[in-house]
Amino acid sequence: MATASGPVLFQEERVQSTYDASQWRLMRISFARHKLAVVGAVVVVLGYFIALFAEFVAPYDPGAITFVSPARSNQLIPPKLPRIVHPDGGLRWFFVHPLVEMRDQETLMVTYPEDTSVSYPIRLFVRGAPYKLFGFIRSDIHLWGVADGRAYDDPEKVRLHLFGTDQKSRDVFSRILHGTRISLSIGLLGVAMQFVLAIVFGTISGYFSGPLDNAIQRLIEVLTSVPTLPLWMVLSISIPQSWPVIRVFFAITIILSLLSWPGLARQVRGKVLSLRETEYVVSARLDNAPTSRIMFIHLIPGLMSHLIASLTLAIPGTILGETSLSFLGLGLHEPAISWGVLLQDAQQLRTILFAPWLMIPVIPVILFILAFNFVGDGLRDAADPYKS
Amino acid sequence: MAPERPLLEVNDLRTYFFTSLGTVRAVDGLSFSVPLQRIVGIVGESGCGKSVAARSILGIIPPPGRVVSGSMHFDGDQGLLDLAALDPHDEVYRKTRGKEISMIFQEPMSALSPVHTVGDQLVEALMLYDEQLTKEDARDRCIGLLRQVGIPSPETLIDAYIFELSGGMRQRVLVAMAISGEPKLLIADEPTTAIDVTIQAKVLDLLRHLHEEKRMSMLFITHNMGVIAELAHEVIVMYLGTVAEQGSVNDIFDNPQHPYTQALLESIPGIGVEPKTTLQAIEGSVPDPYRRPPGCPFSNRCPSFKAGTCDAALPPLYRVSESQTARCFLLEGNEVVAEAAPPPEVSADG
Amino acid sequence: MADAAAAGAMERGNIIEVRGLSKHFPIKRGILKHTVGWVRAVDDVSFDVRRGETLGLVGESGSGKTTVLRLLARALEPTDGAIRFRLADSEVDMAVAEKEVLRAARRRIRVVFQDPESSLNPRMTVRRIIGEPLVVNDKLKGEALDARVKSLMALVGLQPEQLNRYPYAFSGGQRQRIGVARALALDPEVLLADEPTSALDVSVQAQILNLLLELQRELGLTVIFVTHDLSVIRHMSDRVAVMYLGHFVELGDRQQIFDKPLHPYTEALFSGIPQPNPHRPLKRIVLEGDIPDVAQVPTGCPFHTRCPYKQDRCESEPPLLAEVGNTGRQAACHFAAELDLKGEQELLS
Ligand SMILES: Nc1ncnc2c1ncn2[C@@H]1O[C@H](COP(=O)(O)OP(=O)(O)O)[C@@H](O)[C@H]1O
Ligand SMILES: Nc1ncnc2c1ncn2[C@@H]1O[C@H](COP(=O)(O)OP(=O)(O)O)[C@@H](O)[C@H]1O
Ligand code: SF4
Ligand SMILES: [Mg+2]
Ligand SMILES: [Mg+2]
Repeated sequence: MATASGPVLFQEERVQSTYDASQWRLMRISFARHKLAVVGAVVVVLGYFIALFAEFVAPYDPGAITFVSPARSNQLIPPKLPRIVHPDGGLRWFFVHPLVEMRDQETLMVTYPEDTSVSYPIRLFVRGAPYKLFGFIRSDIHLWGVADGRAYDDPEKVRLHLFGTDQKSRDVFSRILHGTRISLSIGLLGVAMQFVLAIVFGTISGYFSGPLDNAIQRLIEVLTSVPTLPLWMVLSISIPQSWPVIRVFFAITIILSLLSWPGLARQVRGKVLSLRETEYVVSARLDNAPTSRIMFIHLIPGLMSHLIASLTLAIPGTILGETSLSFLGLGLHEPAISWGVLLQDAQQLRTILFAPWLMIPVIPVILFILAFNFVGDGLRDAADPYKS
Repeated sequence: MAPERPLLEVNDLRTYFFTSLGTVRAVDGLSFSVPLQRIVGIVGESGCGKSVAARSILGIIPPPGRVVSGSMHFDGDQGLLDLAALDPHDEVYRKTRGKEISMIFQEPMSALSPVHTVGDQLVEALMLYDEQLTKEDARDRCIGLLRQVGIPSPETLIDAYIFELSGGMRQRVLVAMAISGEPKLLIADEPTTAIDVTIQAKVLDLLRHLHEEKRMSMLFITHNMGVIAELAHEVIVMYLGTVAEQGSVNDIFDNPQHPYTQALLESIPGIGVEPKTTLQAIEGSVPDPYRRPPGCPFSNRCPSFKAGTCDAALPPLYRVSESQTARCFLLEGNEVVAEAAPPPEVSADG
Repeated sequence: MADAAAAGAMERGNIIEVRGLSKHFPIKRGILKHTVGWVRAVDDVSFDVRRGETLGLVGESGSGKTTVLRLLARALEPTDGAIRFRLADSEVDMAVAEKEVLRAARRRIRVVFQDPESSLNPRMTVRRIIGEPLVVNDKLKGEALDARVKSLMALVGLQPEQLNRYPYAFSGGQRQRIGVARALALDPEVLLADEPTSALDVSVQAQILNLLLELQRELGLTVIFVTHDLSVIRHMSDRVAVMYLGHFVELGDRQQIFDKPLHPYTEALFSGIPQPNPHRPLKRIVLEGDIPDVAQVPTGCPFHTRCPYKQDRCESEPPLLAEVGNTGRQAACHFAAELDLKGEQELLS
């Protein structure tokens, strides 16, 4: 539209697309600038992918005892990495040597020296223990495994235990991958509950000042003044031991969220209070916009981006909560698999001394807590794309 | 007769910010000088680079910004220094900053510490500038300074915290702090923009009074043409990081040559303007820093725009008179004071 | 011509009559939030606004200008007083109006906010921002809504094609145009403009002032224009009210006030305006001290702590805003009739 004569007004030259960009697009751009947050996001996405496809990604069945025979107990095998250097000095594709189980007759200690005369390659998409993905897709294909030609339940089957095995001869690596499912989803589910509670109570409290606000405020104060861990413990003890895993899982999630929403609700309230007085909300009120419209069109979207950031930062708390409870034996129990349940095995000093790899489940806990924090930080910075 | 060497001579200064969205040429080829014992006013709309220019002189440009080229010669106690060539953390620069060149910021709250009393902050500054000073002497000097800037009962106010003071008082404390080192050059960046008319009047009077009494040179930055007319001897009109026009205060107000200066003066509803009539507005708005128009920075809003000329190249600086220069092709034919230099090729890590 | 318009306004009578309007904000302290004092942001203010005129409301920050405006729009609940609007099709007391009456009145009484940055929802496109009052009140949608939004955009000098853009894609001046378009969406009679140009650059301020003048002429709007900038007040108003610490201290015809103020504070305000003319600086009337805290308004005349003409009487006896002689002008100063104050021209040296 710019004419050759006369001043060229700038608007025409502006790149249409960036100026029509919505808030979410701007947020995405500014999030992408946050390197650590992007790394965190990749870790988180990977984590949830594993949680969904754990049966496929994990090489072995996490629950079933690795098949044993009188000659092989397969207990507490130390972690082992696949090899690439062959004893003959050449480089090969990843392979393993079978382990020989040897028992010292005096100390009764078991050692697992390698039998370097034989080697088996690691292959992708190998057949292994059968499973049902999502409960209905039957398959026995695993992402990777050792190709030794034996059936999955043959006690002589050659295996690679990246993170070793536990006292019940189970593959720790597979168990950690399966633990992702409960540990990460409890974070998501818990936060979803907190989200609903925080929005409902926070918005009401912030928008309608007066007795309602006062009541909610007092409730929040009471809830936040209770020390969390002891209360969690008390509540969890009251969960009947006989309940099925799924029910315990939901009960734990509810317990964790019930005590965590007040902090979020308070944030929401603060934001609503400040948004309520912004000129655009006042101006909507003067436009005769009904309260519901002001809430759903102006207030809640206005705090959504901040809330999502806060929620992301709240996920680690829930994950940590579950881990602590289960670790203390107050949360989930076997046969459920979560990182906290896995860590129960690492409770005794003896195990830590003789089988330190049983503490490996701490690593994903730390990794995901960091990842969620990075993502949350990135989201918080991106939450206000208009403040350049 | 050779003219006296100016206190500060800035030549083709360029300060860029290398942001992830692109390079902001906040100050782009700015040249001016501050003669001894004069008040030089810089006027321009928000975002034209006034504050960045002032911060460049003090060597306090925050990253991702950097002075990328140009010179800033300052004739101080330590001889003639090119501030642009010094490392901002250099010992020489540190001795110059604060003591010889000091600055009053627009927002007093951000320049003063909320957890220290007025006295603490002033005494500290005084003792930094003069190492022989004892604490008691510094306190006395401090009370003297506060009285000088018109603070009533400075003996009690010296122990107050900043948040206990009104806006006008804060601004005065800031002035007291800025003059505590007896600076040769005082830079005031919009010192009255955040305060009310009746208080503004007082702060302006104070600054004028200080200038007359101490004969200190001043670089006064504002967006208000009225304030400039009142205080400045010489005026620099800035637009998009560079000088549009420069001259004595009479030149600028009586005989503006640059269309931007003219338009700016005409757009003010001043005393002579008939109320409720249409004002001479400037079309459009200041371009955003990432999308400058080609050629003359004002070309996309200029009422005298000539296609093919104004959008083809940056105009050189033309002489209007002994004391006045302007950067506009309308003055073609006049003596060229300085050719327009193209921006240097620079990157964030230079 | 301007006089003819003013005379016309006089004939058409008052559109707004404000009586004894107050707004006191409680100051709360402690955990129990008990009230320890009151900010008398607006204290017993009475004035009239004539149909079709522009009343300029001027004063320094904290003097209560925004609060007055928000009370008129009933964005705030008044502590006391009456705000009578004589609209074309109804008469309303905004101080007590409820539900349907208030809804109807708010269509005719519209606000333009100070900060175009915060008065537009950053998450909405221009179409939705300008369209909101139309959607809510007239249930417009689809083509009809778009057409109306586009015509409003054209009216305020925006390009109608840009209706899908978000506010950040516009400059400050354009955002203020969006704010004006939104205010005009429901065919208002009264426009309440709160410092509509204070956040703008000088070169853009003139555009918005021109726009408002033009719209007022075309649409016959009554405007209350709030600002702290006296040059803008002079340019925009037919009559001027000067506020100090929640009180109206002077009210009258613009020309008369600028020629010869009746209140010492008005004179001091005038003398403080920096003139863009190096040859004729103003004679300064430097006031003592700073503006007092609104929570502790001085007794007697609120201005007495700074007034160069104050007498003993001023410390205890509050002067009321009253007509001075037979001038048709009002001032709240005990000595308004005696003092010989200087107008803008006389202050020029
Ligand atoms: N820290 C920074 N990062 C990026 N850009 C900046 C920064 N500081 C200033 N700028 C840009 O530099 C330009 C000049 O700013 P400034 O000197 O503050 O203007 P003003 O004339 O209003 O004082 C503006 O376009 C601004 O966006
Ligand atoms: N919601 C509020 N709560 C408490 N005090 C307020 C509120 N709104 C305004 N005030 C106070 O009322 C006084 C007048 O404010 P305002 O009307 O905004 O002044 P102006 O617009 O003239 O600058 C100020 O002292 C301000 O602090
Ligand atoms: S009443 Fe007294 S103090 Fe108030 S303005 Fe008049 S002379 Fe000044
Ligand atoms: Mg600045
Ligand atoms: Mg205000």
